[in-house]
Amino acid sequence: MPMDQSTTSGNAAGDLSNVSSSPKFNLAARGDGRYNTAMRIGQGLLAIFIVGFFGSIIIQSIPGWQSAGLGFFTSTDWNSAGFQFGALSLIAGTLVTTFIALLFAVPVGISAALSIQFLLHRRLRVFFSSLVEVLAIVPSIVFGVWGVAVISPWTQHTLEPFLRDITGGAPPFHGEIYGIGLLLGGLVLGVMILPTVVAVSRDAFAMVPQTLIEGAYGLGATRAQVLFRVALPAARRGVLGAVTLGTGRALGETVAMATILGGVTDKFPSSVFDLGGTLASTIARDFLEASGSQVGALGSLALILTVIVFIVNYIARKIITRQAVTL
Amino acid sequence: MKKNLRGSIGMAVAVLGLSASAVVPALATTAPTYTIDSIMVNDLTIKAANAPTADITIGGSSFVSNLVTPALAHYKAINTQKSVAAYDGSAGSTTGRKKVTGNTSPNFNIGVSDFPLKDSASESFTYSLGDGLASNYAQLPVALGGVAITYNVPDLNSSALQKLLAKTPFTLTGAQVGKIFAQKITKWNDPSICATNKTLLKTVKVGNKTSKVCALPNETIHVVSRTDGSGTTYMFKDYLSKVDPTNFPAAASTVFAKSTTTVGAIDIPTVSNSAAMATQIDALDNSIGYVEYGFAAVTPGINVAAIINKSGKAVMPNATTVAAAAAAKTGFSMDTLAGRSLNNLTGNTVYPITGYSYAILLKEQSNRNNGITAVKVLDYLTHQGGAGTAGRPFSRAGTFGQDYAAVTGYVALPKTIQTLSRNILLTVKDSNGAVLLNASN
Repeated sequence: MPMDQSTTSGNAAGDLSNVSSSPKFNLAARGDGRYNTAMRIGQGLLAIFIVGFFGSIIIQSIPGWQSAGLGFFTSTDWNSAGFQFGALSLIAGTLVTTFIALLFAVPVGISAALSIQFLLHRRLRVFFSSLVEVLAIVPSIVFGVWGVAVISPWTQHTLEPFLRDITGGAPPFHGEIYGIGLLLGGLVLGVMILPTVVAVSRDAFAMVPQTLIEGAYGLGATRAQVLFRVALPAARRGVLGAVTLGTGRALGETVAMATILGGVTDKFPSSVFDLGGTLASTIARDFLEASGSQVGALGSLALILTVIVFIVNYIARKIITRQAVTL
Repeated sequence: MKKNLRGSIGMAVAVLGLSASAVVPALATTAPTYTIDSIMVNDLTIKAANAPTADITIGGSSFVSNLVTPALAHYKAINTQKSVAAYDGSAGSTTGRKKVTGNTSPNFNIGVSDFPLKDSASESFTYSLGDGLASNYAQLPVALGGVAITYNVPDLNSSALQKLLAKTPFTLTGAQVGKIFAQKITKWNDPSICATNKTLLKTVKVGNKTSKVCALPNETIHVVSRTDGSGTTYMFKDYLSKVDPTNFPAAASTVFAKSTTTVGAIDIPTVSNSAAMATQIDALDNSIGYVEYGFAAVTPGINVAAIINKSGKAVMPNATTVAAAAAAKTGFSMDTLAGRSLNNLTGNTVYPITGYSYAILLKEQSNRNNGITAVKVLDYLTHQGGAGTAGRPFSRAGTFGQDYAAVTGYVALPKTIQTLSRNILLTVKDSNGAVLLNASN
């Protein structure tokens, strides 16, 4: 997982800096000095790249803010071809699909992680966790086509009429049924973030001290009690981090959403059956046609998305590093 | 998870199948008989010093991709010295125009679009990077196809109704198509659609009496559209502007918008290319869309409607009727939309929604070797084997690009258009002003 790599490389860098700061051997110190210089240059380039990246997005987005003004956040009508730039329905589409994805991926992902870590035989554990991780390497467009061609007839004929009937057509389960739309988008997104949720929360469960588990069994707790009252609370920060990372991925998902949501971006969604669009999918769909202030408006969408994803990832990192410190 | 795995395996098989479809025509035609003309001689025994080594990239319109993909594979099989990339039809006509005019990178050497670059101030809808741009480019017809109106109405799938439909296909008039896509007709059993399809009846029992009524369901019509910038949409909207000028003023944009005035109008989902259109129509009940008819033919779950043409005859899109449209066109000219359009022509067998796709390349090719490859690829794509083409002493046998048209759901370019394409290719020159398409290089 990408997550694991980033944490381990962080630790490795920390160890090396400790070594370099101990001036025991001249030879080593000289090598370390060069290494330090190289690292500083690397860090500097990275900083320039990041500042440049955000700077260019902000500069790109200025014409968008100028042409749409505050309407960018108050208007729900996004129509690139007609120069209508109201991002509210796109923000709503992004949040709704992400929320549905979490409704699916959190219970399924955590249960899967718990059972892989605590209930399965070791050999099966490897098999099932790699099976889940296979989902992470399936390209986004494949999920999109799979959603439309394979799952949308099912949501159209079974799931959505069922939801509408048992709720009596109350919001948000009302309106025209297309099969594709926000609900299907959320479900497919849920499958897509499942590997992130499972892998990261499984790592958290693996870090629960064995003494806690054995102690709980020793006190006569049932297996369910051990899992849900001991293991889950002990690993809650890691699990929360897993969910937040999954959220980050769901917010930024592009091609699958552009395929599944139907690209209707000019109205605020009132039902989960509605067609819609997300910030990322709209950028992908409109960019090829864009020129002039349309590019600026798409730049503004990119900025909003970047800020949202940045906040979510920052929170995830905070949660995960705090757990690493306490355990 | 199990379902998903099945989905992944399904996709893997589909990908393998797609690659196979590109490879098989190349293998199947390894030993054709050629009467080799002067240009072909040179293709086959190119001098090493003169060999163009760089990749030629070609892509854009998804309308033509079922034709150009196997044809290019064959070209690469018989011209192994050249490095020509596979056709990229994933994003559509606008991408083809943008990538050849250098507005995005990486660029195409040859862009393919269902409508050419701006060439006349009178055309209200064009892709504009600035006036006069088109004069830098050579633009020529490269494929001929028809836009099929595709529908998926599950209620019509009973065997009794399928028998009726086999005799008389589901039919729409041009005006009805316009009203459906403008969402002025929103139900499948609209009285006017039932009136056009008089033979499409089902038996119902009311008390003791049985009576025959219109078999179309009282269901909402789900219109499916392409995303902005589609050449197929452009071709289709040009047709609609001729049969329903009230709802569709002359080609104004390449999107269909939800009607704001009609009660019962519902949202219009959009898809990104022709293959996605076929997939979406197949998946969504009671839907209607439009796609090059070759795509409709290879997608089992969708049906094609017959359209009543200008002469009042119901016509299905196929090789005969699309060829009839091209033959009915008089005074074809690249310069204006009216001169290019094949839509809504008169004739008993003419399919009314028909058009050419165009290849676009720079008139001045700064890289001479790439330019030579590009014009030869296009010369191959725009001709067919058999009898010689007027204008040049070519005696053609063997397989050329247009020979793939009949088997892939397109129609070979008429001979006059083949000649026109050749003449336009002869205007492509290197930076010294030397013509690139000739017998000696």
